Amino acid sequence: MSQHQALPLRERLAHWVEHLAHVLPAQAPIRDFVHHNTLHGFQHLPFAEALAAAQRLTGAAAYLPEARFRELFAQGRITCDDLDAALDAAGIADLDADVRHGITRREVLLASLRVAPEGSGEAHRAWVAREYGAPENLVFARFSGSTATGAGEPADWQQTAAQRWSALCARVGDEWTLRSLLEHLTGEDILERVRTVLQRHLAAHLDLGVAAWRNPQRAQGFYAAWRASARIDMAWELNELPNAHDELVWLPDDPVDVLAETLPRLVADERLWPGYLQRLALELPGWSGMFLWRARHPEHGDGSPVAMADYLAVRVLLETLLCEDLTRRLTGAAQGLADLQAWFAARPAEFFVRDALRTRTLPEALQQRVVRRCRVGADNHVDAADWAALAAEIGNLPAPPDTTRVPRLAALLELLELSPGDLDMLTPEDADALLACADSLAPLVRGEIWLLAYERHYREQIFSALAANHPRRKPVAQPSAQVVMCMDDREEGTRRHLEELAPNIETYGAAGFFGVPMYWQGIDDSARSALCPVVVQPRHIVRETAEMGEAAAEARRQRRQRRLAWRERLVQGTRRGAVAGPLLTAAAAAPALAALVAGSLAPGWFGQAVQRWREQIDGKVTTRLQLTATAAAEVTPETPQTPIYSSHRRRPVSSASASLDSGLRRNDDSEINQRPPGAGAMTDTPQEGFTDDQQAARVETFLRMIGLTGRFAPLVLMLGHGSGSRNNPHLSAYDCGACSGRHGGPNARAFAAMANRPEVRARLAASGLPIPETTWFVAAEHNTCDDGIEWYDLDHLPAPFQSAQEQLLGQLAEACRAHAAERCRRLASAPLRPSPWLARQHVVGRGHDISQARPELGHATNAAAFIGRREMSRGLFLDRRVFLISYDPSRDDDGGIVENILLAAGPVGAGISLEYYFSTVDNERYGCGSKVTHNLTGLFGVMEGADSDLRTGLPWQMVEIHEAMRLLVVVEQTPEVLTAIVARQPALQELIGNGWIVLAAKNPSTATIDLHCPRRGWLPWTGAGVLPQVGRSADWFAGENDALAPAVVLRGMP
Amino acid sequence: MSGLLRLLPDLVWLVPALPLLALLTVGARVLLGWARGDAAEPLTARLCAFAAFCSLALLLAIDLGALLDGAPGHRVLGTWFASGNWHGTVSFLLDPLALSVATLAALIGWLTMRFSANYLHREAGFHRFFIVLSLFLAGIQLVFLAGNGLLAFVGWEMCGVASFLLIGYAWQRPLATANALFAFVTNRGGDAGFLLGLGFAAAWLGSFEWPALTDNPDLPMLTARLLAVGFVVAAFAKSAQLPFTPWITRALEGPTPSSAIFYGAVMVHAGVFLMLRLAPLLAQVPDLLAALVAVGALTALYAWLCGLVQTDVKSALIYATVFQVALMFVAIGLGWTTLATIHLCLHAAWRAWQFLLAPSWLMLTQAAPKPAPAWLRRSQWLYTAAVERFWLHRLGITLLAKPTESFAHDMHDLEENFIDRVLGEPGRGEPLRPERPLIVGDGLPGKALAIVAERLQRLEDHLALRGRGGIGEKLLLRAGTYLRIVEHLLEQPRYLMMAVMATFVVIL
Repeated sequence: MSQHQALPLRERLAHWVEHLAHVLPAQAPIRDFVHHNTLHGFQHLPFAEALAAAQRLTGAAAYLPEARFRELFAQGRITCDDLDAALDAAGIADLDADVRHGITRREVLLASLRVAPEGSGEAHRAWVAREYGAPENLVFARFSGSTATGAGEPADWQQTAAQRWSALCARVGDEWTLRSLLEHLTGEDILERVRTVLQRHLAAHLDLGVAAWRNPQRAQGFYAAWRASARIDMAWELNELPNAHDELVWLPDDPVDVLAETLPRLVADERLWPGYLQRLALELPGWSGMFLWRARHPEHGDGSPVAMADYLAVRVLLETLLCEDLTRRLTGAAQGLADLQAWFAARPAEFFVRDALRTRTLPEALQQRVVRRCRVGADNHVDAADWAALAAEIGNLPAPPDTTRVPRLAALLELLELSPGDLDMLTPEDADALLACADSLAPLVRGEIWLLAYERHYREQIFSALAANHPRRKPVAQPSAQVVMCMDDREEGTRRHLEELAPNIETYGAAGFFGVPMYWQGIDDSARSALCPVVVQPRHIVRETAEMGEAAAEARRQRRQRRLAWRERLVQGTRRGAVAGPLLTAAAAAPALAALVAGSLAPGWFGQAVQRWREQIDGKVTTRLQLTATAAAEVTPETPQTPIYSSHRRRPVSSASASLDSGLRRNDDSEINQRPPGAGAMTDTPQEGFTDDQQAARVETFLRMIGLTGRFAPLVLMLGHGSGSRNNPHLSAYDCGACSGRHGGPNARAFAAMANRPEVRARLAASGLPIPETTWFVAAEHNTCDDGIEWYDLDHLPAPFQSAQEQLLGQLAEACRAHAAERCRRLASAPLRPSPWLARQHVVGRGHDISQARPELGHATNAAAFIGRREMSRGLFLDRRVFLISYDPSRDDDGGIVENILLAAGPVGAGISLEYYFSTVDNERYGCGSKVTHNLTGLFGVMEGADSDLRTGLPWQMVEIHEAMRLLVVVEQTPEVLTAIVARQPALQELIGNGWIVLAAKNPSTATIDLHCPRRGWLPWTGAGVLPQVGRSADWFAGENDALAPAVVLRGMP
Repeated sequence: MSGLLRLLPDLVWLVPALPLLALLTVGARVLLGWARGDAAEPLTARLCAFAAFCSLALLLAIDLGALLDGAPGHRVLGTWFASGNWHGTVSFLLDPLALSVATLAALIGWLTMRFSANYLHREAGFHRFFIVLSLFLAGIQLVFLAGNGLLAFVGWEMCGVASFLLIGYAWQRPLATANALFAFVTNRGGDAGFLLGLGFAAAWLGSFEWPALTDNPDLPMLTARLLAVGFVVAAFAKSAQLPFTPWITRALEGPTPSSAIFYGAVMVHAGVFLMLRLAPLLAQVPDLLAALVAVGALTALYAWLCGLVQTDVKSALIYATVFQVALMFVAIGLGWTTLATIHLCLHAAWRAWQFLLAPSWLMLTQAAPKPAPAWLRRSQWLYTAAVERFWLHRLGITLLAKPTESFAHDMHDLEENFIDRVLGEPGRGEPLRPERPLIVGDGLPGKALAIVAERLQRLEDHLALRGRGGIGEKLLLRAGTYLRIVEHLLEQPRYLMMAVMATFVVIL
């Protein structure tokens, strides 16, 4: 930041705020929840370094707890071989060096990983020894005397105090705020005095539709609104801060001026300011992150201006007021950091005592005296001699002896499996050397090694499966139907079951917007929503219209509006209406109670009945898409709206979208533009529908991308997906990630409609992709929660295709039922070993059950992605853990197609996988905790209870069964082509080169597989392709409820 | 059939007892370590839901009987304790009011149990939650069905404890436990009122039975007023009327189903129920009725204003709840008890639904609510006051908690600096004289004793231990000689015989 020193504060602030976007949670309002890399701001760093940096910043765990890894080790999910290979992969130095007596460093480290670094406590060990007798252990006998390190001479406390105080003061800025320092000194958290009300003001300013009454001054921005309230707030008097009123009256109107005025009072050193503001923002990461997100996406708000400077000004102001109050009580005068530093530097004894209270375990009697001494109060004057006496007493306490050494040594030696002879030869110096070697790995490195081993174990299984399946590859001779689904890991199961039931069906996978980025306005939607990956900005809008008489449609619309208006009146009126409230309550009570009873006893039946009633009330409607534009509208590339203080978009996204843009532009004329992440609306008007040329281009690009360029089956089904569940604030997180967290059915429907149009087919034929007359495209949507299928536009299906469609409908329904049975094995409340019918009934009930915190498990099982022909994986049981993306390497010699796929699917897959990873390894900090206490706030997020930080990330219920590992992407292409692609795409360099995903290449024609290691380049895989074989998937998963290894499924091969 | 129905009212004690039984069973399973892992969950949930369902079924059967033959009325099933004029009985009052509210509570309780089975799956506090919810169901049924104030008070307290435990469900969060404590302490104010009312009833009426309180039209005005005022305070506290309202807004830390049944649907109405139960008594005291109207109206205004600015769904709903509960108090104050009863039942049913579906607010609503009226919208002061919830919570802290805390600190300092020093503490004594380390004393009594001991020892030294030739030694030697002579004489047979004879004389 030093280069900005000379700039005025306003411009420097803009840079600092820009930087904040990298460290604060970047979660959109919860309605637009889209998976993204939780640590997107660190993506320019290698994975391990990024995790370490994030841990330094937030204290969040980087890897699963070691205890969990050791549990997996005990289960055989990680083996010694995996750990061994992981040591190499992590690049640990001198692995084969001899430590003592021919024991290599590798052996010591392997053993040390398996020993818990901190065993049970001293008290527990002593208790075990008393209860069960001391362990009969040679090591204990030999080393318990010799290695008990005597307590060293207590150091001079005055020197210690001086060092410690300057060290603590140095932390202020990057690691601490003055509040944290004062909390350390006094145990009083000043933020607690204002946090609740600050949160209320923040929520009120950001609110998207809960509050009926807003701050009258909110149009002037957050600072002005807050100040208008704070000036007349009696809380200051009640908090014994009466001076605050005067301060607030004389403050400047511009938040930046406020910062310029108050920051120097707090911290005189300007160099500390950026770090200080960042730390201040990180004290309430959820609220800060949401505020920043809204500041950067003004189009998502309700018109109230949101600027980060407002927020920071309020935070700094509160910090200043409260810190000055506390220092006044502590020292008698209001002090900033510099003064405080000098004050305690002159009083080392007092500091030493206060510091000891926070950092050391004191004997109880002494602790009580220290606590009383340290109590902050105006009437608490203790003279220097008292402090000095206490400090000397504490300074003379002996250091506690290290009692963990011998147990650790014993456990280590046991795992090293030394012979008794070797043990006898072991001297205390040898033991020290062994322990030093075992302790040489930092906790983060240990975590990394465990993760690498964990990933390797799964990777070996996947590679074996691919190798074993290589000889079985066989194309479908005469497909009866081709089904194109989303690449989603959940659809792996659907596809497998469909193929098992109907071996002559071919399935394809692709990002679930099917190459049709568009705005969509359904017949019942009041606003349009973007259906495409978040990095893409659609330029077209497709509307759904009623295919009935104008009058009939209008009548239906009115009936529906009336029904919705009544619902709205009921829900809102019973909570805010003074007169209407009781009346509506009285009217609605009996039906509500009946609905609760029915929904509790038979959720599935009741949910479906309600849907039917709803349809009856609204009236049935047949709809059409307004798909075709008469002429291309003149489209000028839009300049993205720039929010105040944020001139650049975050790096990875913009580069990814830029390359995606260039990739798609080859077939199309520049109507894909960048969209700020998560944005659902934009300022200009999109074109209505697509022209014939644009439609043909989209269809052609997509079909070539998935490799469906010939041998068309009579029916090609485009199957989008979405998830329907009740009572679930995180609903969007279960929907299609490639459609900005919405349903992908409309895209499928639009694609099928385009591909059926004669005008489009004529153009396709002209460009060498003829689709025969005997082929018809149909569309449907798969509900991943209840495994239902909703078919579109069947009334337009030509008669010759009807029987084929009916057959496909039956097959798909049966596959979904079989899939439901497979899903049930991971759901604790589902019946054990259910029949497909029973399983489907269960998931239907689950989807409608308001008491379900886990309507489905989402992407919880994701672990890998295959980019290649389906033959590569067809006939493998992959446990719904793999994103399957269709791609035909035989028609893509230069890798142009796979480049586009990687650019589009890479960030989507990595986003999903990494969000799950982080929410799993530290659900408290990266995730949002348990759903059961969640409380929807302002329609943009959830809090725990009614007074907490805004919680971002995934709830614990979504990730509890997730296996936290990075996404393994296997591409059916040669390493050379992939190397070239990664080299020319900065976005992929970042993702792959920095190890955020793991890349492997499977040779298109042979069974060889190469793994890409960012450090060591391509490594050929040398395992054996041996796998268990089963008749059907159901034989493999029946009765199991944990993650399953891949298996070869015999049925379903063409 | 009808004979059976007539028997059922005597079994009404089962309604609170069944959830208690479920509680004990689940508690035993947890204590014995049988409740671990996924497999243990269904049994816990089913036991509790089954107990709740049986309560509901029993109540429905009693309702049926009441519909056919009229309400059973006051039933005394046994004596709890009796001492002089004091009689504690196990009695139930099964009138239409009690039966309708209790049946509704049982139904909502059963639904909440069923809801929680899925909702709390794999929560660390799964079994704890069901135990506490069963405790609550038992308690609230006692409140609704009890025939006397004492039994109702037991239920009242059970509800309070259950509420405390569930607000602190996420005990790892300091805020949750602090709020649990806040709610608990605030409710103690109401409990004190309840106890006061019971005390007056026992003293003046000689009975805790509800009919004794309510069917007594000739009570002197002062007696009636004093009797009722305690119960009114209890009702205000439990139903979160002013000035007790802040506790309920801080009680939303628990899982959604507990928020629903406690603060949305059932427990918040317990105060209203108590007022309805005592309506005939209240009717004799017009000024208390006026107080009900005034407090209810104020609370309604307060809750309405605060509810308008709330930005999170649970808080918005809780203010809406308090608003309507306040209207019930107004209705009771105006004497419209039937209206209040109906309102109570309908409101409980609707809020149960609304709270349980609070997580789906995003899907249930289409647009922002209707904005506040124009005259209100521009008032910065009222807005600030509503956001600060009229500073009630802070006032409570400043006026009650802070002074109490300071007082406690002062007492502590007093004890430490004065009382402890005066009285002394065991183990802290210091020797008065370095050459006599055995004699230690702390505090006034300790030091005094030590001084006495020291003096005595000095005396002993002086007399006996001053070495050979001291007065003590000479005296002792002489005394020893005399004693030896007496002993020698006593060994003679004649003296022995004399002693035996003397013994006989004494005996005879």
